[in-house]
Amino acid sequence: MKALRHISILLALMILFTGVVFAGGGQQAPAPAEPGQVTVRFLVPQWASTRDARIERQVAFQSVIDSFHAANPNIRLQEVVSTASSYDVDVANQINNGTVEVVWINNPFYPTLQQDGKFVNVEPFLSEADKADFFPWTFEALKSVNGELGGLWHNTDVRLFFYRTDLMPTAPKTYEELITMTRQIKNSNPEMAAPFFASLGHTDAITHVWGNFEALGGRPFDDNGKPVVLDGQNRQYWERIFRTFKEMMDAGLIPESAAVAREAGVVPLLLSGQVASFIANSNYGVREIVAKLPAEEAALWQAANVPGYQGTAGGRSVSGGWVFSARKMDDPVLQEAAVKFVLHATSFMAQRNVNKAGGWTPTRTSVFQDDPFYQGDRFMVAADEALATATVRPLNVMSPIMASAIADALSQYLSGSATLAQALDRANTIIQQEFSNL
Amino acid sequence: MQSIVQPSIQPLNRQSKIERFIHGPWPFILPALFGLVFMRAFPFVWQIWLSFTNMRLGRPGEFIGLQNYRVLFQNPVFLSSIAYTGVFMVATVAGQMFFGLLLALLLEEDFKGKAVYRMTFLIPWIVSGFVAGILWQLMLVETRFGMFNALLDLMNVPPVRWLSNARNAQMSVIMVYIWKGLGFSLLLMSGGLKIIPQEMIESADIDGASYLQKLRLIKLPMMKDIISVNIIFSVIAALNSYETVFVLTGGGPGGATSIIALVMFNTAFGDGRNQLGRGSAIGVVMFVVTLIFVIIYVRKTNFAKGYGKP
Repeated sequence: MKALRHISILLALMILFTGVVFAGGGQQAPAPAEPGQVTVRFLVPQWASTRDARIERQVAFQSVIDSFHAANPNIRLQEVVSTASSYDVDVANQINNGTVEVVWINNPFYPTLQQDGKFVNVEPFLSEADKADFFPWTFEALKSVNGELGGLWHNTDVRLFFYRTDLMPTAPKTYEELITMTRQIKNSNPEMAAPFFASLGHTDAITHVWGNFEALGGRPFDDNGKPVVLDGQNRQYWERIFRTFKEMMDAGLIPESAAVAREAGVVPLLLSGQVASFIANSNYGVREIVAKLPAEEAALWQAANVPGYQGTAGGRSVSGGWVFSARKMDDPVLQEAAVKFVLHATSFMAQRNVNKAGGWTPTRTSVFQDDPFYQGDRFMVAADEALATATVRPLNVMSPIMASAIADALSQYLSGSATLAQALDRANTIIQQEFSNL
Repeated sequence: MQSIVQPSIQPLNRQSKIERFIHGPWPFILPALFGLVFMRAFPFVWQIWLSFTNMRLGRPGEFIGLQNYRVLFQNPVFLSSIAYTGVFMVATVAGQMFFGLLLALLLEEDFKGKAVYRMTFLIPWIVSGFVAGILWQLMLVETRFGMFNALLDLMNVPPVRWLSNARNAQMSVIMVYIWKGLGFSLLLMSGGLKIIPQEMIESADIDGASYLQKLRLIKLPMMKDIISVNIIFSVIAALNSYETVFVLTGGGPGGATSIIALVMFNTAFGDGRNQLGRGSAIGVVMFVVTLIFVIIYVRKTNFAKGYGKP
């Protein structure tokens, strides 16, 4: 009984200790550095760290750390691998508590922290050659929040139109052409379940067509920052986009499951050879087609820009991706060291090694031009071309809300649970309501 | 005069405070108390506070009073999710009760391989909600890949839009949740059947009662409490689960299968929205609804009066 009492007290102390540790978000104190050294802690998710199970990722991330240490003997890097169930929550906690100096952050979450000026403006630290090397939209997007370049875009993806060249010898430039082509495929291949697949049930759908909306002339916000994405002419652009998908779905050119599918919903159809074309992010070429299909079947696939609409500029795609940012801090030496690591982690060498190991798309034009893999891989060549004219969904706290409301509207319309007018009216009500409550 | 020497009054307990603490009830109470405070009480109080703020992830919120609640009850997504959650809750609980009882009655009979059948029916309950969602998505997704449409195809029946038609998707989600919760219901119902005194059944047999009469007049009345507990547990589970529907339909098409728990998750963490204050307000609404059922449960089981007391 006495032993049981002691065990019980021990258990209580352990719970107390665990509570205190977790209340701190699993933060790490900086490891002791050598005299004259400063320690920079950088936060990364497990799948983008030296602790990932995939050897190629371990090696690539370690090479970035080792090369930084070799070039900067006075700076010690401490990799902080996030153990939180939500990485965004961990980023917010660690930045607000000042327990890491550098974070790898998903771009939709960047504006939340950058609005409060949490990150160092890295623009003054960049050489002219570096400025010219990154795709221009990366700077435009990151600076759109408060005018400062609060980080550097490390990896991205761009929506591409993937197609089987034996069924579709050339990529359609417009949706009108796509409809004609897919009708022909459907007629000559009745077994083909889906000549075209676009995940239309989630915000993935809006990512696919955001470039189309902008190419048609759409503007999500007015000059005062009020969302007008479903007002006036903008609404007519969405109506056109929605009707195109409805027409294709009604004609059996898009599988009906696309109305609820996420981007990955295409994978079973791809593996069963029942899809002739689809829209997905640029990494699907390397990660799905080449990695999962038999070589002779994979060789049939090609990628191009997402189609546009007749009478408008060509199809434009939209990028996503992750950004390296350094926290603003009082210690100038530590801040300089953190910025150095941001520059190093997004350098040519780091982008080439890490993106290749991760199956991601780089943001430096030089990686596409000078690395044999990126020069030769047909999907990456298509990605490079698309990225040259790509735009990013506005980095703004209203953007996810708008995307979610419009995606719901599209799904309602396609599934027949609302008319086009009802679906768009409902979406606009939600957007305006949320905006007025910001 | 002989003085009477009074013996000095010794304290009954000469133990130090630490010893008293060790030998008292606290060592056994503290682990649970700390667990309760850190894992339940603090997050709960914090959540209520957040529901009165406009906090977003990464940005401190300001107190906005009842605004989150006002917005919620004007929001068509939330209102339609309440409506579907009601239908979903009634249908899944009714389905789980009916099929749970039916299977428990079948498994009451003696036949070969009974234990295997019992285990088989328990598996869906053990399987993670995410895994269940993926499995059913693969089976229901249209095209020839989906098992259900493949079977229909064999019978020359055109494929059904299981997940992309709003009405079908709503029914599919309910079907999957009935399948998932059946094991738990079966377990409780089987337990309920076992506590019925065998003599009563034998007496009824001697009196010539039919199977249905025994079920209606003896078994069901004697299982009343078990069925009530089963219903309340199933209702609470239905209100709080979201993972299977998250994987299966993501709440679509067009929000048709959005249950409240999923709306809460999406508002607080989904698609970069990060509206922690609003999400907390949805959590508080869910808590109030769940509390009603907990009160019914407590009253039903006389939990407040204390079990085991004479």
